[in-house]
Amino acid sequence: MALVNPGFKSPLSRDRRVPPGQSVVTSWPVLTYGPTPLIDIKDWRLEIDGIVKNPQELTWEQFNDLPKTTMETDIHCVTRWSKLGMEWEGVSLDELVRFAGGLSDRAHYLVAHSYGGYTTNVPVEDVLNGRAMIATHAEGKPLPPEHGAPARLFVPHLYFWKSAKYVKGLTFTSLDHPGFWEVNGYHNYGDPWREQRYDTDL
Amino acid sequence: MDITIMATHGVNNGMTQISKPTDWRIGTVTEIVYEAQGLRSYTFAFDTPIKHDAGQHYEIRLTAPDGYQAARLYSAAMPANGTSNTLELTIARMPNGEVSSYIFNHVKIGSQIEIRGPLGRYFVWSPRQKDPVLLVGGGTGVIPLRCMRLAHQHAASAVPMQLLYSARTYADTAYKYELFPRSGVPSNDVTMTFTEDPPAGWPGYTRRIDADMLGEILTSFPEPPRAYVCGTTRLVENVTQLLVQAGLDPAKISAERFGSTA
Repeated sequence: MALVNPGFKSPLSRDRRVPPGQSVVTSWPVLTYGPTPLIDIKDWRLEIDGIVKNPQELTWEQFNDLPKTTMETDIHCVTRWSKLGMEWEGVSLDELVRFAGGLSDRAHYLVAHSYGGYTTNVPVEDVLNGRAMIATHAEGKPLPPEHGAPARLFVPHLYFWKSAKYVKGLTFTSLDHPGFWEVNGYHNYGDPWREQRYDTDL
Repeated sequence: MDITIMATHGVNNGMTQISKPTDWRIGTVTEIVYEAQGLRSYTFAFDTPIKHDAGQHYEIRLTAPDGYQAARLYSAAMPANGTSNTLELTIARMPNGEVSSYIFNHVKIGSQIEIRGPLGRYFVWSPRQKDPVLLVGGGTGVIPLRCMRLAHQHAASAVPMQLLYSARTYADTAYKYELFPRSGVPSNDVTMTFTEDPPAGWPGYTRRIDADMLGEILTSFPEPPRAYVCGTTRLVENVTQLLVQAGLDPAKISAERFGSTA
């Protein structure tokens, strides 16, 4: 049992959409470990490779020709803020995998690569069946640079460091490849409802 | 005792279990220092040693009688190399911040608080690093940079380290007793800029950090430094872009942005 702090009170009401240990924000804080990469849309590419049937490299135009999808959902940052009821738009991972001819049975993990060198890892089952997309818009507007323009991975059911900003590559692998934060002290999976924040959390 | 945990994390003196950074430990407040308006440093004593790299952070967790919990992250403000059981955190009072308000209003000498850490292994500086170092902080973004500066002093490190600190006013400036050891005059390794209300007769910068200001500091380095930038999103976006434009390797620019997480 945790120590009880005398005089500390729970809030009058608490939204059931908020995972344990999180607090609701109305602003949208920015977390990036280095400078924001400035990406010229003419040079932007999205590579889909690894264990896919037909590896692809999409230009911005090719990417935007794919059917778009929207998700209305909440996001949860490991630094303990949650932002509720956001609307996100992009191309689902299902669509991108289909475009690359489908996955081999041995594809168990996705490694997302970003401009600037960031990587993160997510199990394949967490990005298919409508659970993830490459997002270009939030709240009806194009993503601002500090939030990942022009496109970021969006996996809202995991802590938000998994939703890699400035994404440029999706590599499907049979073995797990822990990414930037996953080797710098954070949890390999990152479920907000189980508070999988740090690498020694269960 | 849980054998699995012992096997995984080892034992100390064959007796005491070493705690993991993510285990909650109880710290007892032994000192509270007023740093600036809405900014205080709290020293916590533990029954086990504290050890971290400068720039790492800790979590404070509060629990209400009905079991509700809230936690927040705070950068270590003072280096700790494992020779002492004390931890210093500098805490800013946030508007409507449930954790910082409780700390400011209820926590006294002798209060017990649950804390875990150190956490995060990226925005860190250790005396093992050999690059020159440029620290750029705005407002309470100076807190982890102060820890790096003290770690540099404690290790008597020979690598050049410079701090550029932007504060609104002298009254808002944290750690004045260290950064201005002689009244009104910053230490040799410290460059201050006051963006709103500089002290009377202040001869230094009185504007937001810009390319010229960074350029002047960069010329004082024998080779391009590794940079640590901490402050509001606006400051960090601006400074990191200017440092990239000034030719620094983006891979050698570490940033921590804070927004309005109360």
